[in-house]
Amino acid sequence: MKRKWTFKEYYLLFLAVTLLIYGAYSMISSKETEDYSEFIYQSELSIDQVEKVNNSPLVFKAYSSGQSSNRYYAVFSEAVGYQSTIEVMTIIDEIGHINVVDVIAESETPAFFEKIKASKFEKRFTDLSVKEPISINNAKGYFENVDGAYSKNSVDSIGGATISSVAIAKAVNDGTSFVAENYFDETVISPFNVFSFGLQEAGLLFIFVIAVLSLRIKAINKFRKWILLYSVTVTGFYLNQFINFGMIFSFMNGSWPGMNNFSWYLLIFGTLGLVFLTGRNLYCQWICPFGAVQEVILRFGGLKQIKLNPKLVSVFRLVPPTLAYIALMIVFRNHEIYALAYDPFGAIFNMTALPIMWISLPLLIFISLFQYRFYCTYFCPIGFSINLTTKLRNKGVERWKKQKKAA
Amino acid sequence: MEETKKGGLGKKDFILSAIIVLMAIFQCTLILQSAGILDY
Repeated sequence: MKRKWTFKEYYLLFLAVTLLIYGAYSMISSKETEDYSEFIYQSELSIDQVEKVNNSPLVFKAYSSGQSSNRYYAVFSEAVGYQSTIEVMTIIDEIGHINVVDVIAESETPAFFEKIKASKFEKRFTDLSVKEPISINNAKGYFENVDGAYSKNSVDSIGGATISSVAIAKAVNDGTSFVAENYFDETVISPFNVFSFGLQEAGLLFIFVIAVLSLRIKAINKFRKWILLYSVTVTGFYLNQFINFGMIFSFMNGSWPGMNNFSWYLLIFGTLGLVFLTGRNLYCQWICPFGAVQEVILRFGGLKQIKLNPKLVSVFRLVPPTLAYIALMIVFRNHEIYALAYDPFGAIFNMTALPIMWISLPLLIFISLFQYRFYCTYFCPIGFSINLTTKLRNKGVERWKKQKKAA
Repeated sequence: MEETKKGGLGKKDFILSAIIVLMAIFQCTLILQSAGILDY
């Protein structure tokens, strides 16, 4: 017998359908090609003539005919940052030195990206040679140098905005390598697309292994409090590794970072892999440091749990998809993913957030004293997405087993 | 128990619901501020 759909299911279907329609419309309407030459004219080099010489990556020859007539190459390249694709324009002079680096599009968390702007990070590339790889210093977990030695052809990353600064450096290097190879006859090996496995990745992998083992070895649950404390301190505060909404969006639209960012792949594919293999959401249960913060507060606080009426719980469980829907609609409207940065993860683990988050965070932490995973239950878009995937996976497997049995 | 006979809802349910609604408003504000639609 066919089961009747519930109001909740109709509501979620409505959200999904309208989101898909608007998302598709937004993609089609943004297809008009931007005039990139405008960015070159706007640069500080008083360029008055440009000529497109390559399509992918986009390269222009640019000329200035003032007092000193010069020829330049302007290359446009991109790389995935913390939560968005960062587009960069690099202008190179005829001897192969960088003159200008400009970030022309990004949707990183504003609080993080302000650090990059404030420290004039783009200026650090001026005068670097395109005939050598451009690497980045002080960026844990990234390929910092070439052949084991710090290269002079490098820039220092920005503390507190490491992922974004590495992405800018990678985009610049990708662009300059292309120009070096095609217009200066120099082959440049990228220091960015190299697989790297360091302490950061090992620390994250450890908690994934624990999550998997917890399914087999029940004794692990006895140490749950301490494992959660590891998630909070090591993966959260020390490594800053967790899934955010921007990462899920980047994954869905195919903007994946280079293999040097192994943690990104481990978080996304590790979590999805565990959902498909085990039919359980182990990320929220064991790995997410913010979920762990709330549970640790509840467990160590020792206060009596207050439970909300189940009918109200079921109504308020519609809040996460509704918030995610509002944020995604704004993303499709603006063609920027700033709106997805409404989770408290950056605030607690990186101490960077908009003022209203500093009001919400203490409230969230206070309620965690007597409510089991308050944020996860009523607000988290990540937990909602993973739980939905888990449910769909389990329903699919159930149906497949039934069909197999019937056959 | 605090729960009333009529609707099965008690004082704690109202307080928690109010907190959830307040937090949801904060989250919406944060979405709009992050997107640059609202000033902060």
